[in-house]
Amino acid sequence: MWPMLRQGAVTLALAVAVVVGIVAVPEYVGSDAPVSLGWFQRAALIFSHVVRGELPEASAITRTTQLYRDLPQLLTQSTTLVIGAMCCALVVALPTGMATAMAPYNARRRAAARLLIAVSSMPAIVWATVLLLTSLKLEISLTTNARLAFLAALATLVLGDRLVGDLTARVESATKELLDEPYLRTVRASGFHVVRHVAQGLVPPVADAVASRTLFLIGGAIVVERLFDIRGLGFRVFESLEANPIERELIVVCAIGLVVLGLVVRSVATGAALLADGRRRG
Amino acid sequence: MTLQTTPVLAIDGLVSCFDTPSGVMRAVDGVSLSVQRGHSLGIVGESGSGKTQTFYSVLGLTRGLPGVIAGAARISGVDLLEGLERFVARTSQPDGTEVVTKSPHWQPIHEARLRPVVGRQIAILFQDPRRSLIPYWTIGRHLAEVYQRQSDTHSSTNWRELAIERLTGLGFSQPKRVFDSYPERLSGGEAQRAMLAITMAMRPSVLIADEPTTGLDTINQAIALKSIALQHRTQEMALVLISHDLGVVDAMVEDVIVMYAGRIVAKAPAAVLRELTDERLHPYALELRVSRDRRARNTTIAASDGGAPAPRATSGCAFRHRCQLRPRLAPDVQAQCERTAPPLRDIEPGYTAACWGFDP
Amino acid sequence: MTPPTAATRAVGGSRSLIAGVVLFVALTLVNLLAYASEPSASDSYLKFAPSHIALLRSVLGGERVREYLETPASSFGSAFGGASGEADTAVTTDAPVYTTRPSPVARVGALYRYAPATRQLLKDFRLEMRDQADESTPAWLTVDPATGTVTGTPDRAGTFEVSLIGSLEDGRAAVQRFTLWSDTRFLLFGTDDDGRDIARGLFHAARSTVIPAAVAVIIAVGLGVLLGAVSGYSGGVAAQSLGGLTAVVQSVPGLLLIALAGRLSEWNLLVMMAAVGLVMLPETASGVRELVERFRRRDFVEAARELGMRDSVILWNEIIWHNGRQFIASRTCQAYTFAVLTEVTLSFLGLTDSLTPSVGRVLLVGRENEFRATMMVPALAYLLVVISCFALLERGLVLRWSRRR
Repeated sequence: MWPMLRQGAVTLALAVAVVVGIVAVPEYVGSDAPVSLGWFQRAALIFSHVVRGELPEASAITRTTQLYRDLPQLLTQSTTLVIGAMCCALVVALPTGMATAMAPYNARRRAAARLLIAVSSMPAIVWATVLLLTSLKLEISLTTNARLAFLAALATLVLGDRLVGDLTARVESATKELLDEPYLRTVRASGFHVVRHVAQGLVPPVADAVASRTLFLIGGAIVVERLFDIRGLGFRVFESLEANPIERELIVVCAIGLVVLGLVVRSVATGAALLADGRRRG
Repeated sequence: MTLQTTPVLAIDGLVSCFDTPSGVMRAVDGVSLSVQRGHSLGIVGESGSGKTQTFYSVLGLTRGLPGVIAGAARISGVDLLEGLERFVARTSQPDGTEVVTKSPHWQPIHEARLRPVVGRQIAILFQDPRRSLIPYWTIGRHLAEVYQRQSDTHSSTNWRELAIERLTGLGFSQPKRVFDSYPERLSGGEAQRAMLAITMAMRPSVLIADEPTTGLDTINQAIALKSIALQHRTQEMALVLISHDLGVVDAMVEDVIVMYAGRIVAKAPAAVLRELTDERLHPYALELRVSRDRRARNTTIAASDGGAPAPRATSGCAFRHRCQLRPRLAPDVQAQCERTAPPLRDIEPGYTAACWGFDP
Repeated sequence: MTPPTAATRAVGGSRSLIAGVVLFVALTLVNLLAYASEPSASDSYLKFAPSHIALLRSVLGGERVREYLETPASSFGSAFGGASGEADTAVTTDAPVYTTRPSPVARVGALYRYAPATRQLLKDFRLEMRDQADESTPAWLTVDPATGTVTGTPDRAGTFEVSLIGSLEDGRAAVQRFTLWSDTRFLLFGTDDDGRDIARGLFHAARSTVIPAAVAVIIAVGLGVLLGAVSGYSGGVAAQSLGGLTAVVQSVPGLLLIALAGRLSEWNLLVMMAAVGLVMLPETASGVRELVERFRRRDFVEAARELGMRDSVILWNEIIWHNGRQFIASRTCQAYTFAVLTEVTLSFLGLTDSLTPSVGRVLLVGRENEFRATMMVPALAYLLVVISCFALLERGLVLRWSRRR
């Protein structure tokens, strides 16, 4: 448990350093003016007032609240998209992979799995175009939440760097390995539920696959947000990038928000693996 | 040995084959056997002889295809394979090989028939017990799952005590510790007995012990065998003991079957088998006896242990290439070994063998 | 089904390899031609646009199509005030009445047709048209008053400002004003919104895809192999720096890093490709490192050393070339594809500089125009050609070099 948290903290620290570094450096290098990440200025302003024994100016605080008032909504939208995408991927990949591995000579199941993997391997950009077209047609009939869910479901199929295809392949190979394990024979011979045990045995490898693909998933979510006008953290990052002047502090905050989201997803995956096989990791 | 009552387990003419890269291989080639309630049967043969596949393929435990294609398997009179031949199509190729295709309907019907039987009327004790137990369940959890299936031991306080009692009865000095342990924490011998406890909890009519001594040291082997024998006596069930070691089998069981290359090559009660001289013994059974005696004297183990079987001969006796008896036979008999596979014939009262070298 | 033998694999590999190489050579040639015909990217933008575009962009502020809602009073006023008819209320983009945009270019001698779709019912359509060059009112464009369909055949080249006016139920007029160019050019795939020839745009877009991606590949694979090999063979500084770089790069989503790097360098393609290379580097390097570590301790290394072979020779020839070339070839092709796709994705998202020709830009404009097929299909086809080129190369090399056991 603790190594995981420690690693998460290290990753977070690195992410902050990287993003702040990239965002702040050009200006710093190019001119004599100091780094203008808004917080520092405001913090310095407030601090200087406090030091002098005065009340800090209201403007500094209102500016902060103004900039960040959207943050909860951005966070929820991004989280819904990412979690929704992951769940959709799992819902599609798990049954397909398991069914294919458990009936290896069933040509139809194998063909379905191959099709899924091929579909998922198509370049995201191609499918993004198709998705946009579809969503345009459906735009009128869906409410916002339903539309979000629909888009998340479609987006997972193709974005997130072949997430579904890779997951399906991983589930298939892991199921094949599992079925060769002696203890599954005991499960069958004792009349226990085979599928339940296969599913439990699949949690560690699937969780590993999910954890390692989280970054790509976040990247894909950013693209989806931009394409479908979903106002999430990724969308906000790009808005800040396109603003003139660049709103550096928002970039940093939203980027870090995305990184935290990724870390949360990864922790959930690792936690699930822990639960499924407490004896091995506990 | 008149069979007045229905045998609790009867297999009749079972044929089971698998696709391999070098063609279709018959793992079980026309095997028939039966066990009565309260009696025990031992099956001896090297790996690849089909002794394990006979039971695994009937009980749906093999992963290979096509699996069982012909025969009957009756548990307490109920045939698990009844009527399933119509889903199997066999076509002979011009080069003499046979192509077998099985309809996908075979599997679900068989599985439906297995459900009330497997883990209830039949239980299997697997070899390599530490890897055969579910790694993320404690022994107690295994037992809980079995007990919860049985309606009369459903109350939670009862079954726990029952389980501990059972573990004590199997020779565990610290039954509570074993109850709460995961399989990897137990030694080989402990795991074997724990698995025995779990299978016994299912109260089966037939226990199939598959190589229960493999991987154990001699002391644990003895303990395991004693435990199995004890359960067999006290629970009034049928026992099928599978081993590659004749020494393990002939001390424990009433009837012995010797298998080679998917066929039964010799069958006799253990007492009769012990009395048979080397000359009257089927050549393969003789090999097994010789290797057992060598092992007992701690000399080198004969090459027949664990050797891979020759590819299935399409005709003629499968053992003819290794047979020590054959060179001593008359040329026309040797030719017959080459041409036709010998059927099981009564050689002496109670003793049947499949060999052209004996006069019945 | 018989498993593939080494022979069949080799044949399949050769075919893929040849196909891949052919495609790659073709793409590189196109890329080089694009550079040769016009060395500067922004000049090429002008080159394949009608010469009046640059001027008009500054005049119109970049908006070719605009929409207005006019109340009856002001339209009455505009009849007196002159032809420029400034509106009372400019329509907000939240609720435009017209949901389609007209095509910008009409070819002289060919029929031009625009059938508008509207959110609300409009009737009594009429048309106002003005030639920008001489302020005259040409008559070659007419409108059907009932449906609003605009048709006509231009008789000469020129730039025209057209206003399509339809009446709403409440008496207001909904005006869609757009710029129309008539041209004598023959355009294979038509034009984009600014009248730029799509075919030429794709030709010049090659400069943004194939050759700059090589920069990313050199960093990702070249540097990656070097770093991975050295850190696997002798550990030390190389291993630590690799570890550090991996941790850094894998802490933030790659696309985000590349987008940030791009924006902050004003979308300098080389900087972006360098960022792409850095993002791909850790995977390649760790793969090579694993390989080297695995083989470092094998017997034949000791034997080779005793024979007097230098360490570096052992490393490159024996270990990496013989055992790692499949992996490296595979990674090179994947890196190339990733680099190309990333650039396309970022320009499709509208993030890159709009003056640089790029496949993604063409796709973006197509998307903004309700997925006009003439824009989307050629761009997508080009993209698929690029991707299949590398997929074939990868398959070919992997099959040819797969180890015969």
